[in-house]
Amino acid sequence: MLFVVERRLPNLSTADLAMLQEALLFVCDRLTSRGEPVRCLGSTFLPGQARLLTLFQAESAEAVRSVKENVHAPFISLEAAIRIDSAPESFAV
Amino acid sequence: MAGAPVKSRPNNLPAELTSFVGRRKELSEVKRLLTQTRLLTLTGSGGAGKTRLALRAASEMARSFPGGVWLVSLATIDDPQLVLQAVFSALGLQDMSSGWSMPTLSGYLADKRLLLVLDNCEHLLDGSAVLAITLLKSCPELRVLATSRQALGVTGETRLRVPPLSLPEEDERLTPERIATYEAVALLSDRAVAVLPSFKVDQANSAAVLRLCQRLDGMPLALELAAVRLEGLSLEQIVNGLEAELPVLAKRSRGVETRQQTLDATMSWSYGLLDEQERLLWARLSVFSGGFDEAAVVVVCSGSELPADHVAVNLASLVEKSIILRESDQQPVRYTMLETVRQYGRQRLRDLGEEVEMRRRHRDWALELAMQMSAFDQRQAEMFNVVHMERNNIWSALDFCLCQPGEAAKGAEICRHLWIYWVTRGPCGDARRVVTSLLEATAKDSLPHAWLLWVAASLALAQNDYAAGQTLSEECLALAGDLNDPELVAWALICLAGARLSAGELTAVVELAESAIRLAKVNQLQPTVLGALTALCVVKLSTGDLDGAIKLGEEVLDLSQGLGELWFRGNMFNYLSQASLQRGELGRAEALLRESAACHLALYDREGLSHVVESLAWTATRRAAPERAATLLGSAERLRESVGSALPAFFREQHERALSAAADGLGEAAFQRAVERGHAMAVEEAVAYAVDSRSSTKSAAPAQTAPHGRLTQRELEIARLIAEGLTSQQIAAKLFISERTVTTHVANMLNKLGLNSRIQLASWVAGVREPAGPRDT
Repeated sequence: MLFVVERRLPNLSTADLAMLQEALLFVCDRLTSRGEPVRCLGSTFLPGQARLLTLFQAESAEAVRSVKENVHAPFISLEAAIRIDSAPESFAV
Repeated sequence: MAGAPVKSRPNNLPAELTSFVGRRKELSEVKRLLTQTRLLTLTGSGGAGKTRLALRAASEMARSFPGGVWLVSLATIDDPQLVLQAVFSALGLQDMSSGWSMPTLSGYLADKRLLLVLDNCEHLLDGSAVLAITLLKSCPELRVLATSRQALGVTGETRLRVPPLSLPEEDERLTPERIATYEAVALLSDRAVAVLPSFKVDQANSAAVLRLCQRLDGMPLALELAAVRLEGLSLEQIVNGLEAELPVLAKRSRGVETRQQTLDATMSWSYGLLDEQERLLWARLSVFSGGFDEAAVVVVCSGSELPADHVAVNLASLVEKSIILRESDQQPVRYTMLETVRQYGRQRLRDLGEEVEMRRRHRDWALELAMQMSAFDQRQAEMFNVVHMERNNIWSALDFCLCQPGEAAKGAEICRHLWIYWVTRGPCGDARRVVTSLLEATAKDSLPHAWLLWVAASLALAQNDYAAGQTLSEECLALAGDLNDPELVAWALICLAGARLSAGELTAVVELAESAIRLAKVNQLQPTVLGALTALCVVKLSTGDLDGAIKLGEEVLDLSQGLGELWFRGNMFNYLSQASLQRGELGRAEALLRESAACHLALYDREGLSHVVESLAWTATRRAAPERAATLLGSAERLRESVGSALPAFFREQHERALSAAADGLGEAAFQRAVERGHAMAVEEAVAYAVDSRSSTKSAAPAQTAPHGRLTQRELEIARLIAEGLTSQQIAAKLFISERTVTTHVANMLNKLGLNSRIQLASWVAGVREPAGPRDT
């Protein structure tokens, strides 16, 4: 299952964002090695809104919740997500 | 082994309440390892003495850490999201940052050679590991000493298992003197002497002593719990009593789990020896997080089975039995419990079926504290300190409100009353997270929900998150109107005014603030009137209506003094100083800033203090005192860093101007030195330097002289305070100088004026009739 965690993080530099991403990957590895598989598939930062969207793959929201609580960064929401990798056929030219 | 630990560096290590026994080998190993590794974790079962060993090692290594050694106790924290806040708090920092606090913390620690002791990590392993690895990567001089039942599991971590205290083999035949040299026996003897001064290991009792120490596996906490019982029981009685509780064990199979069983069994035995009221108190005290005083215990724990007038004697009894610890340097007396002992008590509370009820009473007590916090009266500074002291209890109470169905409304009430503390001292981020969770748990059309929206809006504005502040204020205003709550409507209007001020919508802000003033005045809501008048005053300042701003400011100061509060007063002195600066009234602006500093310092409001110090740097620039200006700019920067706040946008122009003027006046090298000197100042030092009017007049410009040409401005200031009837002690406190300095100034004034007494000096002041200053000058 996919999940998106949304955070509002004003005043963060690129280095700070890299530090946060590293912390996310670190906690994911720990949980996975303990038998709670969770992968951080990547983050997108929207500078204009100071919003960070991070996509996770996990068996349950619990594992993602555990990741987001242990990196000590404030968050807005945790939602189930659907990824659309390519345009549906009906939209194809 | 007892003795005063070396504490030559800044630290927050607690005083040792009992002597430190044994552990020479382990202590030496910890110190050796800390010179080689940046993360050392002491592991071992509960009650093995990990914390005590870590604290002793940290204390003895303090000289190696110019940035200090700092204890971060995680025992009382259940929520991993509060770990970062615990570090801020231990370092004496306030977290006002608007986003992720980690960069603020790593920025603060980046160039410091400092030791962090993360104590009791076992229940927050992931959070502790992330903290340690992130900080160690970005702070090259930082070392971390952790204690945990389990290692953090981080690359580069060095682990050291804390073994039980040393014991002879069970079949060894030794003399009493030799037995007494083993660490477990030495600890038992040391603690036994405290309750039985004649106690000594001799031929008659050595076998029983040995058996007891062996039965307790050399576990320090178990030995301490047993030793205090020697006042009323013989060694044999203790051994026999413990035999009934302890598991039957193979001689040489004693691992960590077995030692934990030994400790649990010792606590069960110890619990069983208490009388009914003591047992009940131990169980009920487990609802406190981070300590408690007697008054709190009476409110939370007393009842028909434990009458209020029995609490003191039962607390004393639990201290004697080493169940709770009495902190030596607190007034009123404060007590704490080791986490292992607290967990045992919590289990007993569950067994009694009282956990929810006791946590509810604990929550009600926390709510009462919060309500006193928001009274805006003469106890405000005291209540800021009380709330700071009880912060872990308050988080625990809020956690109960979040986790227990049907309790969210009470949580909302706590938040409603704590907003003033949070926006002043933080942590805004954590508070906002709790408020957001409570919003989800309260009915969308309820009054508690509406108040939470307002607290969330206030916190958002404190974090400069104006967009969220506006949305939340508008939502709150609509709901408060529907619910017909005039106080909340007025506060929502004030918040909305703050949010729209940031967008420059000045006409709308004036209308909102004036509506809030009318509503608050009609309903006689005095703190709300203060908030509304302040909001309007800020707009007047922004539009250059200085007369209007000053008139409103004076109304605020009068009302504030009537109530006895300091928060609005401190801010208003600062705003009025900006009006004086715009008018070029330098001396008046400085006097107002000194008043503002006194209020902010009383509340330990660092962000407020940073504004004052910054403003005094600007006045120093205008007085052509570039060295003082540069020093103050450095101090202001340090204050902002310590709360994770940025320079306000509306300060930027004057800030840049002051920086350029100071750099031009001093030259680059001297300018940097002065900035660094200011940056290195501690809060109190920075404030004392900033408000010292003598240094403000040390300038390249012609010296400022008093209007009559004889007294300096500082002397005049003191003379006026004498005329108001203040003693030297009171003047010293007010002006942040020593009493001896006041006496010297008085002597100089009497000499210059040819007077003989303070009464004559007071009469002289009345005769001179200096122009009135900001408040009392």
